[in-house]
Amino acid sequence: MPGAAEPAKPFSIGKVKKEKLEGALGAEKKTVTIYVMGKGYEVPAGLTILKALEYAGYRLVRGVGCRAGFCGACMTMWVKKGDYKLYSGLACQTVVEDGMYLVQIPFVPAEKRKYNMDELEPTGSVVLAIYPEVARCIGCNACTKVCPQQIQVMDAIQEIIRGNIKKAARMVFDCIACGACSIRCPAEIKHFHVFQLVRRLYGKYIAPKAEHLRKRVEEIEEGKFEGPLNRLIEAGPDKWRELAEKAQKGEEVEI
Amino acid sequence: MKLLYYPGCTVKATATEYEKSALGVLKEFGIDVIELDRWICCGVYHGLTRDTAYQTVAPIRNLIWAQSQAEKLSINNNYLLTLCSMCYNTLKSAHLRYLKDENIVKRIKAYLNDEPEYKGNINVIHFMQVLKELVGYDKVKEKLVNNLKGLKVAPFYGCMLLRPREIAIDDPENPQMMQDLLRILGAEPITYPYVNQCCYGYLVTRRPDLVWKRNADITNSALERGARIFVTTCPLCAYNLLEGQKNAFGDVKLPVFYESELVAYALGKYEYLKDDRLSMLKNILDGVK
Repeated sequence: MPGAAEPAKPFSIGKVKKEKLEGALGAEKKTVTIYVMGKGYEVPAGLTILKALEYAGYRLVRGVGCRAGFCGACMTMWVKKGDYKLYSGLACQTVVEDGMYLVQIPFVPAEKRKYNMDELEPTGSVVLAIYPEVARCIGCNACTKVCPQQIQVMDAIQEIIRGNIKKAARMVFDCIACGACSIRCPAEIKHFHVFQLVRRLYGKYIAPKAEHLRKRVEEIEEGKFEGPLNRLIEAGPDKWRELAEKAQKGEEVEI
Repeated sequence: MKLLYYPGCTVKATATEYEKSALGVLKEFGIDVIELDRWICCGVYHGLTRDTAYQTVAPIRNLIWAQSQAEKLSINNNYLLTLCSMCYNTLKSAHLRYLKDENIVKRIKAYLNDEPEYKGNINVIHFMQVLKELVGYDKVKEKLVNNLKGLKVAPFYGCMLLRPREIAIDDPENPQMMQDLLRILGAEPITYPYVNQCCYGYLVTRRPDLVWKRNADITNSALERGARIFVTTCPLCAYNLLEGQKNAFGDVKLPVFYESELVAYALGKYEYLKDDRLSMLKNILDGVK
């Protein structure tokens, strides 16, 4: 047992962000007041925005998804009392603060243009032909400031303009398509669609091909696994059960 | 000598032969060019917006990043090298606007509150100025191995290096910087009325017909005086000169080279030239000898 000799610590704060911790623990009050679309609610301090909304009685149909900070469905924007700045984050990952005026943005209006991946080239001008508004970037950096994933959004857009698709695709790997950047953009760029195209171009034309995968596909096409697979299908459910039980016990299984 | 370098989108995306030859040439003269770790479009797209604060944000952000990197690397000369004439013009103009106009400073500081303050020390410098003022044409002369004798060249400055006057790298009415260097290389610069005139720039996106006509006129004027090639330092001028000829004449009568490509050739450093550019230049030189 690691650390058995030491007295147990109440809990480890690990790498929790300072502001999160202040939201969760620093508040003296047990409740905070938040304003959802203008209406005030008193909710327990320490809840995430998502849980606070549910506590306040909202039944969320849109604006909620994985509840784990991955899907981007619960993007929320807010301002704080006495602060002109517009903040943005994922409702499932952000702890409520007293005096938050918030609204959920479950969808960002944007058109995904149609293109055929087989007919494209991995160049900046291809992206600009499909999404010409990318060239309108004025370098205001509003997108980067608002990104809940800490992506350097403006820099990625700029990499596209100068034709470096590889770098752009790598920079935006963590994009969860919440659309916060696109709402803030004075150039009306729809970053998440642009970034999806960029990652597709990278995956199809630039990323090194997986040699083992190519070999395996070749083996499958040559029929290497046809025999065992057919024998397995013919064996029927009783035999499958028997084999599965054997495998669970850790015994060698062969068909 | 260490020189911080702001590349700009065009030399990375389309005018790659310019970057290759220019950086190669500078290397030959012992200049250690260091590309900025972080840079964005200089902001040239917004050059015609009415709100000058709006168009100053992007260039000043670049200058702030240059300032930070200079501090980090302890480079004290404050120079920021540019190749593209448009980038030079945009960055330098924004720098001057920032120094002169308190109102703009106030407004864009509010925008740039995620960056350190711009101290106003960055000296944006163009490739041609580096060759003339930091390297010196006499040093260039010492290293030449090829002579461009007999090659009649139409130098084309375009607007961006010469206007407005406050940021001009040479006399806007009678620029000689490019011609002086061409003479040192052994070439013969022609004198023609379009040398410091406009190629019609971004009008190409709205009224290409006007741009083709304009560049056909420029080309005809240069042809009448016996020029064999154009030489410029502006990727947009180069584009309009080439596309103008293709659209007006159906082919290219006067190929367009960057001044740095001719210098690289004269230095005998063919590795700094793209293969197709090198063979084109050799063919032309064979023709005039």
